Amino acid sequence: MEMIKANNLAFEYIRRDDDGNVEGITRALDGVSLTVEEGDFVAILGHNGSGKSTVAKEINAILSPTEGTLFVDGMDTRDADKIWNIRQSAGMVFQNPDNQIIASVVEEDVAFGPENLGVPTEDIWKRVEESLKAVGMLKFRFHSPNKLSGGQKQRIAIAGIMAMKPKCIVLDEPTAMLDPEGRKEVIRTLHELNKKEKVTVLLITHYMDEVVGADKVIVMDDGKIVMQGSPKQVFSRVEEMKAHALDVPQVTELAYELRKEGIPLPKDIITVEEFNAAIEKIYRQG
Amino acid sequence: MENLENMQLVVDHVSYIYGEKTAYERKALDDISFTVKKGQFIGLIGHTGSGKSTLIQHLNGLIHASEGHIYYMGRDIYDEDFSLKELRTKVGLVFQYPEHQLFETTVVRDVGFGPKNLKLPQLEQQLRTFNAIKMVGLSDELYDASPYELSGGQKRRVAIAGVLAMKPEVLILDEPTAGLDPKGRDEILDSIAKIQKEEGITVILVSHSMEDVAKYVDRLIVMDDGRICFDDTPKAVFAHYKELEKMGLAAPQVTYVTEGLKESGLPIEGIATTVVEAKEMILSALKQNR
Repeated sequence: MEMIKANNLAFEYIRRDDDGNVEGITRALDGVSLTVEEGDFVAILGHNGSGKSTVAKEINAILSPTEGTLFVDGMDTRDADKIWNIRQSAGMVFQNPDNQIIASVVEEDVAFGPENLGVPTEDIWKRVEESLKAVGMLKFRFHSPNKLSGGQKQRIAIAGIMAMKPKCIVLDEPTAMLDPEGRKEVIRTLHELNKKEKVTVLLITHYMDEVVGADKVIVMDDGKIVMQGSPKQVFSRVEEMKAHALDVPQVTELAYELRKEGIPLPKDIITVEEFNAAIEKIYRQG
Repeated sequence: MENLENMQLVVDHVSYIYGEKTAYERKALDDISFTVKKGQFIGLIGHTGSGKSTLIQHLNGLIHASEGHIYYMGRDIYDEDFSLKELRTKVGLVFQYPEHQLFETTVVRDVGFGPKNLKLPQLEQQLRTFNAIKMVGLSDELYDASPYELSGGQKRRVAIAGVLAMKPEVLILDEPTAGLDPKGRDEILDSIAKIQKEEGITVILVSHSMEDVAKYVDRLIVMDDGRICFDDTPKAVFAHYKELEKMGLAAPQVTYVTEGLKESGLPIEGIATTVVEAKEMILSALKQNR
């Protein structure tokens, strides 16, 4: 089933002067059509200002389409009556963990979402326990969030969303402020939730290595979708990625450089293991 | 031992304790010693909470060490007649997400705020302002733009220019590329490297990206649990990648490539920390077999 379906979606930010006259229009999204199937792990790449965060805000019905349509779990985001259902279906996690944590005890923070949905108390505690377990933070249940690392805080924020039992989680650069270990923790957690809990994940990021494990990668530039496919398909187009002000994993770039020197490496190398296996094979053949 | 007088910065057995004599007492820095020569490009890495930010705030006197001394150009910065205010113009600190500190109505006014506060002659103020804007590679069309209208990468350049306008002799940047896209990241780091070379200033770069420090710095300091664990060239430090992993860090991806190939018996010598190095090493290994 389709979790997210955008059809020719467009969004314009309108700037106005002090008197309310239109000063300028920025077309942040321009004819975006995309489908995310239930259970998919989809990554969106794009440079700053390419429109990827606007897509996230559209999915969460924070913004309403200027043109086109967007359906989340079968609900039209233009339908004002559905806003809360949409936000429950598609939970959102933002960049800065400190802006998303509100309670002074971890379990209370996670309980905040379901509490606002009017979930019965007993059920709330059950959900809190399950979500903390799912992100591997159960033992911090009674801790103060202030004393946790960035990666741990971000996992608490994810648990808070999980407690609302969403079908889909949208994450807007959730690792931008974390150290390498924190980044790994968060990405590992997302893959586990995707596999075990069957949650659809839409990950917006700048880090190419976080994208390698995704089912599908979407590249945005100038408000449009410019590339999409499996990580291998997308990263094998090194020059195109660079033209969109993006990078490829270091091994992909290394393989690209070596191919230019005439070493017959496959184009779709995206991990160290693949790279080394290919080089060894060439070496053994002499 | 090298003459300490010639050192720009000397950190001598510095320790710092947070919340001393409270329930939250914690040793953030534990007996740190190192020296910095003028014109070095130094990387500082360590996981969150390892003490990097605490350390750099010591270097311009924002935090006073619990124990130990810091010398700037041979003078103890804790001496009574030493002006910390002057030190802070010499040692410029760019905090994380510095664009949050932009507040003026135009780019020129924001960058010029520091020189204006130094009460320099008008002409000198303007000279420094426009020079700093140029150094970070912002186009002159943006002089009168509101800093708030700029992109994330541009805002950050304005903030860095604001510190450069103070003409620092040491520039410390705390994760200057966090949250930027790959192109914005490369542009900022390229400008910093250029400034470091052309102006001859010392740069200390705090980073979470091993790929970035490997590419730019000539000396790498690794912190863990308030202590300095490694202080060497990036290559020498990344050779200890297994120990780095235990500290929640890693080596650049290409280091794993060449180390892996070595283990499989390919004739690779030394260690690669950049794509260019790895490429040369692999090409020469493959040639040996022909």
